[in-house]
Amino acid sequence: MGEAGAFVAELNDLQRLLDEFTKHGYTVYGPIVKGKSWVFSKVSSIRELDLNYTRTILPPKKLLHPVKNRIFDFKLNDGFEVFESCNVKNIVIFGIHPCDLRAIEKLDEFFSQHPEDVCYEARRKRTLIVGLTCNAVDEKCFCNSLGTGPEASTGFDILITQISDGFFLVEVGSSKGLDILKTLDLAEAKPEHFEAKRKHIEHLKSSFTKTADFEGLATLAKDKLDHKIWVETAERCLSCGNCSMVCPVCYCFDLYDSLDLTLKEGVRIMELDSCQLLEYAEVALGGNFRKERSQRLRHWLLCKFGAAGGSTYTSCIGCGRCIVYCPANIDLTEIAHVLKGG
Amino acid sequence: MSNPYIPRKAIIESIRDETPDIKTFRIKFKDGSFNFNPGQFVMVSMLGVGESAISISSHPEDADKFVELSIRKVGNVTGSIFKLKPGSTIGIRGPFGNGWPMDEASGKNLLIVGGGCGQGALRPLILDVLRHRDCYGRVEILYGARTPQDLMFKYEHDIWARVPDGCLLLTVDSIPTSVEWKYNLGVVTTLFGKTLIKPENSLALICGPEIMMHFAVRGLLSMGFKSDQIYLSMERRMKCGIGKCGHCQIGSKYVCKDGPVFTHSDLIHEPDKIL
Amino acid sequence: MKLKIGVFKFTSCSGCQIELLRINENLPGLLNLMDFQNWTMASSNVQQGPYDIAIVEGGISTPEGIEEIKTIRRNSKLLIAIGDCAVFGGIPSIRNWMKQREAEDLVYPKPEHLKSMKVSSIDEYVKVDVYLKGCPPHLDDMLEALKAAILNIRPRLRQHPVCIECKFYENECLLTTYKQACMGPVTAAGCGAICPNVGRTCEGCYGPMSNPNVKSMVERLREIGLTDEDIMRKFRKYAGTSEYYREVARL
Repeated sequence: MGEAGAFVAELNDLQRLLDEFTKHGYTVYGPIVKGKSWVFSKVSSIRELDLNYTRTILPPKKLLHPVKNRIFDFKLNDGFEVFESCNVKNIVIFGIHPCDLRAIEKLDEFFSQHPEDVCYEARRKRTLIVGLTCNAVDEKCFCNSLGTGPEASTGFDILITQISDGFFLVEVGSSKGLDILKTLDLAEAKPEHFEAKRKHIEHLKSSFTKTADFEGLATLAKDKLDHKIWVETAERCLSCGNCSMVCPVCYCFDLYDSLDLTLKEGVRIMELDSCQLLEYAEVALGGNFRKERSQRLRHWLLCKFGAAGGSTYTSCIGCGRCIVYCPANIDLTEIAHVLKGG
Repeated sequence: MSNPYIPRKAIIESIRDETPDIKTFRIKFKDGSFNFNPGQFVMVSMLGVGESAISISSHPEDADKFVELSIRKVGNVTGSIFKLKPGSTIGIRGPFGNGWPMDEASGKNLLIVGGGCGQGALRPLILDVLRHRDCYGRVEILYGARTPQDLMFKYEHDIWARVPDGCLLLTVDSIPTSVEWKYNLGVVTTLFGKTLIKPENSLALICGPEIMMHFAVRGLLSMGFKSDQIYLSMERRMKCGIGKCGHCQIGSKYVCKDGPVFTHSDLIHEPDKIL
Repeated sequence: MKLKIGVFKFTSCSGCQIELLRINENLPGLLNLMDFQNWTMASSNVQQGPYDIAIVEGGISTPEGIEEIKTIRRNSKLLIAIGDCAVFGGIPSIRNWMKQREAEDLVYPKPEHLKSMKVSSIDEYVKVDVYLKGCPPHLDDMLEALKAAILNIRPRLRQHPVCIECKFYENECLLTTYKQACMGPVTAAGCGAICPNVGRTCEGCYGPMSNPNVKSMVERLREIGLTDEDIMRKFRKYAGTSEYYREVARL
């Protein structure tokens, strides 16, 4: 990134960018309004997008690590035949906020660990990421406290920032991004445009009302496995799994087989799973090492504080989704506060 | 880059009964070689039913000829495998996990403690002792099961018992009236009083139900073993076997990837375990 | 060899069987595997058992019913209870919460001819092998149960809450976003979140999930303004007799 790799654009230029993606065989997904919420959905026009969105229900992970995904088809004969079936197409995810960009970086790092999840890798390789600096923050946002926003410096092919009404700074994050942008003949950005962005970021930073302090919690929380906060919070927790389903870094999944009615053919399915569900940790003969709701809630919170098996790959990026979608108003920043002796 | 979720084909060559609910399946791969460490496991696929994590119970040196899986019938996958006959095909992914600390164990006295079907994961280690006796110090095998019928590998117990500078101590929780039993009665920790192994230059290697391992660890600690001399093979729900799906986590540890063998000190600060 | 199947109905609305009739769409595949020997709704050609599988709809509410379900059990290797009435007593069991004679007076002009009792799930009287919750259970669950029966394995039935399926479809959250009385967080999934998919709250027809936090759910419903009477009705509706809901349903 730098001034050499930055342009300015108006809304119709962004439309041209979308058209360029389509011309190159990409399907474009972007944030659109759904009732009172937003979702990443297929779009063809820039006007379908709501560039003022706060957060989508499901994070962009739904396009890279789908909620349900056939990993192979199989046929049963004398033995079996397996047919790999990870379904990959070229997509652009347009308008991802900085916190979600950071989440995708974490998923990338996680799934590329040996042995690589080849389906994830294949999807990721054919995905272009267009970041969007937030236009505003709301009372559930706290990326600023975690250093995962509101400014993105990595994790995108192109980054768009609205610097004044209908006028955008378009920064390049990769050669792929540059190749596409070059075809648009956009004017190069000038220092004043970067200055405008800097001011916008400053303004964003000053508008956060929610703060979180997770510093050192990965160790601290594990020293407080017996803290009463776990049990107390679990009294409210519904174990509905919303928190982990909407979390942009929660990757846990189930694998199961589904046979068709001939009982000779079927599919193995990878499906998003949640550690909040009773069945998640059940072992043979019904044993369960996280049978108590408080254990499951604690496990998820430890995970978000970076103290579970996902380590920092699954630690919180401050998007606020789990807080918005918790029917019991459980707020991990409040729990962090209590654990830190607040 | 190969897809780690795709199972390889293996043919069941033979099946032998171990206990009323455990059978050992001797399998051979249709393609290529298979290498593993004692204590590692595989994901066994019954396509259409699902997958289960199963410890390998044979010795790595035999792997070019056969691999053995001792399976307890507990659910859909294992129940379906039990219905198979020699010649049937199953799917295998793996081997996965770290296995027993073979380098660390070299030259040391080994106290091998097994409970129930946990003995399956310990057998490759025991076979290694038998084949490379000079590599280890004194070796004592303590093995407990619910009843005499539930002891696995009975046909090998004589050989295990004759290990030079070693012993096999058996125990059961209860004895059905019609069964003759000349060994110990009680949980496996009641055998600890009969061991000659002292903590110095020794390792304890344990596999069994977690509650049994819990008591074994307590016994060993009070005998003077240090937390990092005690190795435990853990069991948790596993779906992927490759550190991705999340199910097998014990706190910050993945059983499938960081384990299944951990030292007691590795786990001591982790939540959600009986140990 | 094809499995011999009998389909039976007790106190219920036949809705589960209607859902089962949708099996038609899958009939060619299915008929290779099973033979419906006794299903009066589908065919007047009825063959007496024994059956490999009995599929039973409805709760038990008459003395004759008790004998009949016991006979069915004796004549069947596997018994699948379909629908909330068979599994919990279902909607008819709402009357269990009032006096029997009051309920009878409400409905019948001459209740003295009735031989009716309180409604109970069929497992009050016989062992049930597979429980398919729902009003009605989704056909996919029924097919899953039948496939599993052929393979002699446990079917994969979702015990987790509807919220999970709602997220699969990325539905807006009716409870948190709209403050509507959605029973999703305590209700077992399997329906495919069909009500939230069209913007309607989950009514709880799949009954309790594997371990619902009923106490907290009651609090959530109070927060959005439901009276205790409203809440009691919500829990009473489909599975009021279930172990988890009984206490709230009695309120």
